[in-house]
Amino acid sequence: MNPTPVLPGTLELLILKAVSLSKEHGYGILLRIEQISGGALAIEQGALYPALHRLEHEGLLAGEWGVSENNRRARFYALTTAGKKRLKEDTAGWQRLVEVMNAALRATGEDLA
Amino acid sequence: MKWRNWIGKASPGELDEEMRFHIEQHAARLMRQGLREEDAMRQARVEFGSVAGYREECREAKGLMFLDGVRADLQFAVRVLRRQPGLSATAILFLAVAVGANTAFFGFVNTYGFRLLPVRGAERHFDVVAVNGRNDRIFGFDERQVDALSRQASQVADLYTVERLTMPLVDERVRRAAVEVVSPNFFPLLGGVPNPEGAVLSHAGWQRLFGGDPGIVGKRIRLGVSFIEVAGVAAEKFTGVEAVIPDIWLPQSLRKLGVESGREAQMRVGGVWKEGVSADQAQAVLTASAVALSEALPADERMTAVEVQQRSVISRGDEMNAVAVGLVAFPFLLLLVVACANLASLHLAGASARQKELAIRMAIGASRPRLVRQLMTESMLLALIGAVAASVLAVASLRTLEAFVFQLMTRLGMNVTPVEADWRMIGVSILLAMVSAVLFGLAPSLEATEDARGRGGSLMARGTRPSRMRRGLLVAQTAGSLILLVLAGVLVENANRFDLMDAGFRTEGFIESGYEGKELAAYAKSVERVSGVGVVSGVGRVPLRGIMHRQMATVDGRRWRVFFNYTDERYLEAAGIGLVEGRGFTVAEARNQLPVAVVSQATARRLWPGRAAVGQMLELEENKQLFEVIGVARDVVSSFFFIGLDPTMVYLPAAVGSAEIGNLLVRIDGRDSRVVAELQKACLGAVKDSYCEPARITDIAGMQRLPVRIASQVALALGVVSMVLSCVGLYGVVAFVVERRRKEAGIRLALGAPRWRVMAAMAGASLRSVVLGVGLGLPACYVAAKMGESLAEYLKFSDTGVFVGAPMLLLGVALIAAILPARRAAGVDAAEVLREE
Repeated sequence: MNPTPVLPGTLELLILKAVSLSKEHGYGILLRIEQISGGALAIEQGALYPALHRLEHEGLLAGEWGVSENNRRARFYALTTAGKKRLKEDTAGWQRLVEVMNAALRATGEDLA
Repeated sequence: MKWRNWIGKASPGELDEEMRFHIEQHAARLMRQGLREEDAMRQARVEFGSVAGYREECREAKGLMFLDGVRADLQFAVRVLRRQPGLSATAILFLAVAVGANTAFFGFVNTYGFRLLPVRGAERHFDVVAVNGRNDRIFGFDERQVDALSRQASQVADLYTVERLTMPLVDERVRRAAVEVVSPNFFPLLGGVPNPEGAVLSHAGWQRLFGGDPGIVGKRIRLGVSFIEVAGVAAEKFTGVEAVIPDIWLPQSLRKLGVESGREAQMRVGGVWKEGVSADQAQAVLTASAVALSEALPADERMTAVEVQQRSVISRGDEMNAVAVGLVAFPFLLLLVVACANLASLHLAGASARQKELAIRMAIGASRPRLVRQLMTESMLLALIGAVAASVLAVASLRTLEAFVFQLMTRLGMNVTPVEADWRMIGVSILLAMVSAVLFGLAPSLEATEDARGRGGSLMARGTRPSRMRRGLLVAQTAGSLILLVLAGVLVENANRFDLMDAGFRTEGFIESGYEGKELAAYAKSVERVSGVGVVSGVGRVPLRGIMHRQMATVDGRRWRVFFNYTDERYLEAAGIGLVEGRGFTVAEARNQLPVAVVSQATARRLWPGRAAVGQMLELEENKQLFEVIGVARDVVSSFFFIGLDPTMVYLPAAVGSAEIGNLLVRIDGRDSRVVAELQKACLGAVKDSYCEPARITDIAGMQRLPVRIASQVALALGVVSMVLSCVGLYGVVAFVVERRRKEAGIRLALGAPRWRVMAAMAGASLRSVVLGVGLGLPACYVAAKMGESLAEYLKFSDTGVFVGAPMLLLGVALIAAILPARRAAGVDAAEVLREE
């Protein structure tokens, strides 16, 4: 099965979720997203970085330089309190959206009374 | 949190490092899956996407794109400026001079109009002024009135009083000291120190009168007939509340010690309202005291209002001041405009030379606003450097300028609050420079990018058509320079006129005794004994010191306003004023103040046209008497040179010793300075109650001329600088045109055109603009001259010499400035130029 492209706007939510599990650098976040989505989502690799920096600029992620597993200098991101809050809100919002969409897509001619 | 992110990680290097790490990690993973290193790297890069593109997106996400743009612009601007050092240096020089001149001028305005008074509570300081029934403004109050005011105001404000006097300071010489007698709370309130018991010297007075004697405190100085102990010297910063700094402050208690002034104290009242009180509250409270002030005053002099005039700076902010400052500021600002026009021309030429570069940038996608921003950054950078240079120039020349402008005050022995440089001056410098940058940068930038866009298709084409803007700028800067030159010419003309003007009487060897006390008769006697003294005469007002008094006279039923002066029987002889009819006063007539008068020729012509004046009668209203005319004297200048010969003058008799005669005028035959010193010694010996500072009438006349002379010199400096700027600018423009049109010049020469025609072709357009500028500037000057004449009656504004000479001068210098570079065009080797292609 070909991986589904990520809907615009959902990449940031995925990043927040990935980082919520543990502090990671950019490449690690990519791998994490692959893991949690079971490889079913296709992400343009470079697009991660503008999204990461945007989230950092908004104060939802905190970035700092550290050392990676193979002793290289890398930038690690962690979730801030505001980020945790946003993750919770956006997840709830997403669930709601999915339910509404599902209901709408299940509609048959009878529902239009 | 957000701030730290924004400031901290702005470096592009780190972003690249982050992305590089990602790619390498991915490549490593691919290698683990079996790919070779180069293939893994290549695939990793492809899968990552465009690093450059994502880098930009990241920086945009952080709002850093703008900052990047600005930094790039600045770096580029620095490179551009360094590539054209001559142009840049010229521009900076122009800015330094023009902005510097304006900054220096502002320095003066700042010191007297914006800097806070150097006293405590300056923001809450005010003057008390009363208005009476006749709508006169009353500035002086007596003791009783001051008490009433203080009692009334005690809840809302602290009032202090100042009385200004001159007193003789006696040591080896007798010199005039400017004294302020102040209330006991003056120093505690304004200076924050306890009330001193004794005289306080101002820093300026200490320097001027005592040479900065370090041991002066505790010494006793003689003022008039009293010996007063010096309690201290004020800090240099503390200069009181006026522009003129007194030499000595005396407490009120000491005033009574033997200073003969014969009149009741007239004190100026000022105050500081208490914290928490508003100006209006203070005003309301003080107005209520108007009635109390008016006891014992005649009905029409009763106070109707008491005004609280807030004053936190030296100047008393009335409209006249603002208008005067505006008028003087105009030539300085005009110089700045001329400089900007020049800079715009240069800038235009410079941008024009970069047509190719601009066209290429536009072709690969730079937007016009972006390019304009780039060009404007160059202008701003130039302006900033120019502002720094201007500030340095202005601050460095401040002391010199101050000494120059205040020459008159210094000669009169007055201490003026020194002009100080402060942050406002620097701010004005930067502001003016930035405004200039917009003025000289924007239009040329827009025009140059317009051209570049139009030439998008043909990169090789060069802008050779004479730009309308370039011509317009030349016209503007020429007109501006002409106006400044004409202004300078008019002022110089007037200054010369005053210099040459003969007072009509013998001013050399004529000395004013400079004594203003009550023992004039005693002094006169001792003066007569001094060797070298010729005639000693008495006079009411000393000529050329100021304007003579006037009163109404009635002749045959018609009323006239006439100037008059009291003189004794020897005055006309001492002054060397000849009589054309009749005779002067006799000793008896002077001593008894008989009702006889000597009139000037002009007076005789005016009051009794076509008749002999001698024997006629005239009634003087102030004297309430009929006077018989016994003689007619030659016309002289008694008041100001700019008024010219007295329009009218009536001499009335009085003798030394009477109340009307206040001064001695001495004609001397001996050597000037020796006799003057002797006069001073005689004064010391004879009188006890006033200073003696003999002054030469020639010096007094000179002081009248000084202000106009100073103004003319400043205007001349501005005019010459403006002319030089314009001509350097013109040179630059023509040189640029020649450079651009070398090929054309070569072709013309090859086809046999005479050299002068080629030169004319190169410089023609520019010179035509200059002539147009002169043509527009002259009528403007003429109109301004007419306006000036109606405002200032006595100054001559429309002198043909100036109106012909100034344009000639400007055109001549412009011609030279245009021909020099044009000659290069005529020297072009045709064959060589045609080979260049």
